[in-house]
Amino acid sequence: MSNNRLFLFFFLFLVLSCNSYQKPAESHLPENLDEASKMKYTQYLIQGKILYNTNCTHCHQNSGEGFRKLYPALIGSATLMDDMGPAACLIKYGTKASREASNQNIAMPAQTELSNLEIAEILTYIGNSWGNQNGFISVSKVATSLVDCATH
Amino acid sequence: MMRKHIEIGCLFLLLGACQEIKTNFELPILGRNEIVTKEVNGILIKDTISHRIADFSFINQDSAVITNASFKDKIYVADFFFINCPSICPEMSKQMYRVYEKFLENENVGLLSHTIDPSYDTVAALANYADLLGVSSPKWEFVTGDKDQIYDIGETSYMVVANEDENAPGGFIHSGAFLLIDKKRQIRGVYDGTIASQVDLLMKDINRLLSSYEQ
Ligand code: HEC
Repeated sequence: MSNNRLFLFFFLFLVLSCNSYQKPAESHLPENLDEASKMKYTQYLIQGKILYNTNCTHCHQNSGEGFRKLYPALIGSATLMDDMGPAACLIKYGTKASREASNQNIAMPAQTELSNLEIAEILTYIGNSWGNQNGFISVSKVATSLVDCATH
Repeated sequence: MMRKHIEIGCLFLLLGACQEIKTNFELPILGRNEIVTKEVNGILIKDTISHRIADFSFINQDSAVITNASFKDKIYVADFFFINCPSICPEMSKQMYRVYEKFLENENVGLLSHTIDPSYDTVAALANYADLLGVSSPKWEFVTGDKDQIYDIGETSYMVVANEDENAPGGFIHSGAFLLIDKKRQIRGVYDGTIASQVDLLMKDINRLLSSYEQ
């Protein structure tokens, strides 16, 4: 009986801790949000982190610090801060590799399989982690940004 | 009863001895040995030729010719990569950079990265890459050259897979192996260049191999 009760408590604890969304420790969440926005924001941060870890860390590294001059740091990145539009295009379509590759950055590969939602989650995460504070990026913002980068 | 104790004692002794061997053991010589028959004084005899890295000649990031002679009296770590490799190469470069930093001051150690995409990775592209990485020749040679020669040496000398494949990320399938080559052009270790702990082991083995030349 007492064992069962212990188990029940443990189970409840697990369920509760799963339910309460915890934003990643390195991410920033504005304080004056209503419950619903806070929930959504947090969810984007969590999903964005997962997507970032599978698709981006091997170049930009775990904490967005980049690697040497090969892979730029995302902390304080001007591309990210100015406007999320170019960043959305970059993530989806990458940079064109140029054959006259001297004194220039190497190419970032396209990841066209990422959906607008996934790109919004990634941008929300990298735009608001490790000291970056760029606010929430919605799916519709990504959709409009992507219209303009067909030339990439 | 007594006997059993002795047996167990022996077992521990053996295990202890193994431990001893483990920290001091010589690195194995890897590769397929080739058995050839040759004629000596009219009789056919069999001879074993141990596996060695074949002769090569490539061009590095500074347009200099790099051959086996460039690594004379050195041990070196070889790998195969390409600049626009989206998957494992960034990690390989990061790991190889650790080896570079660790042995920067030791002229007996060299690094040799072959591009498997020579049509894109020209001398200028490799020079740019080395520059962005902040490394230089002769410590770290990035080489390009005749495609067939690169693939051939990758397959038959270093025994790693490197092939063009449209379906693989970046258009090539290739292994992230780092190979440790001794002064006699023999392979002494193979490590996964995408795993930090494997590269830790490589760096230990480099020291072990270096010290074997000091005796
Ligand atoms: C194969 C390596 C690689 C991968 C994987 C990669 N990037 Fe990049 N990224 C680069 C390179 C190289 C640049 C620099 C491109 C340039 O400046 O032309 C770059 C640039 C950027 C920039 C602009 C930074 C600045 O300040 O200029 C952002 C933002 C970015 N990447 C985000 C991402 C995100 C998000 C992902 C994952 C979805 C990702 N990258 C995956 C290599 C990579």
